[in-house]
Amino acid sequence: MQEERIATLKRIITPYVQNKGALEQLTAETDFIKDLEINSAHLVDIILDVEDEFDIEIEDEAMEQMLTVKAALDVISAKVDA
Amino acid sequence: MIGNDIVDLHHAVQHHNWRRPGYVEKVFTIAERDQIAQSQTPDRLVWTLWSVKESAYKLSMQAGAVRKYAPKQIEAQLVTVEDDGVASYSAHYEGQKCRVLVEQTASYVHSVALPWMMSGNKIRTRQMQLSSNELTEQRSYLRQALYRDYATQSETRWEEYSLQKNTEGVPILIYGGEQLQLPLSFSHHGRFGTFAYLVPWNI
Repeated sequence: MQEERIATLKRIITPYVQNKGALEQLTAETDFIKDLEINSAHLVDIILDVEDEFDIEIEDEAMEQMLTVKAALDVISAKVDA
Repeated sequence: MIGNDIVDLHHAVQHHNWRRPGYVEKVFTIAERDQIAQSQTPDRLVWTLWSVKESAYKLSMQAGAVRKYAPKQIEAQLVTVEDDGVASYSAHYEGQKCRVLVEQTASYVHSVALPWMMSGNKIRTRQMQLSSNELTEQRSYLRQALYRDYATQSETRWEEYSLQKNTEGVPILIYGGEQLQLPLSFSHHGRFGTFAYLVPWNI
């Protein structure tokens, strides 16, 4: 399940990643901005794409934390597996 | 403490679709959304407000704030527009007020944020068009431009400078192996890059 979600997340974030090399070594600890060098104005796109993909709504409080793969997976799992 | 952000307007129009459903609601406060809705130049205003928020956020990171993604918690308010076209905004974030100076051209919007109480301090900043599209090259070009500028200003050797980042991503200038306490910020977007620092000496 987790593997599948990481794969889905990877597909979502790929168009926004500036450091493509870091994408090859994607782990739960990967930071969207520090490691993947995603522009912060594109984090909103990722959050909207995740909402569409998993059919969930991400509130501002949850969005605040979504700076890493792990944080994004936690937010998805809190909504989908609830 | 200083925060600095540049938006390449052409790049933004091509690569960032702020009109997609849900986007402005996640990024802008109600007051900001009202302004955007009434604006004759909404693209320019969206990226101006974004740049003000981003520079205020970077300032807060230098002041020790915790990293988070909460663009709506920073509200940008226009205070004045000077004769030379530079606009002055105020922004509040994490209980701190800051002043953000915004310079606009046909091609970019550039914001520099300072704590409100320090807004009289002298800033040195430069905007540059970058020839490379490659991030590593852009970064190294910007760093070198800063080393040369700072070395000229302080009458030191630019070859002795290097740069580190702390765990929060805040840049630290190094001279001959020693950390300088220079409030400094870099930004790049699309074809443009900038640096800005607080001038530490009296001129």
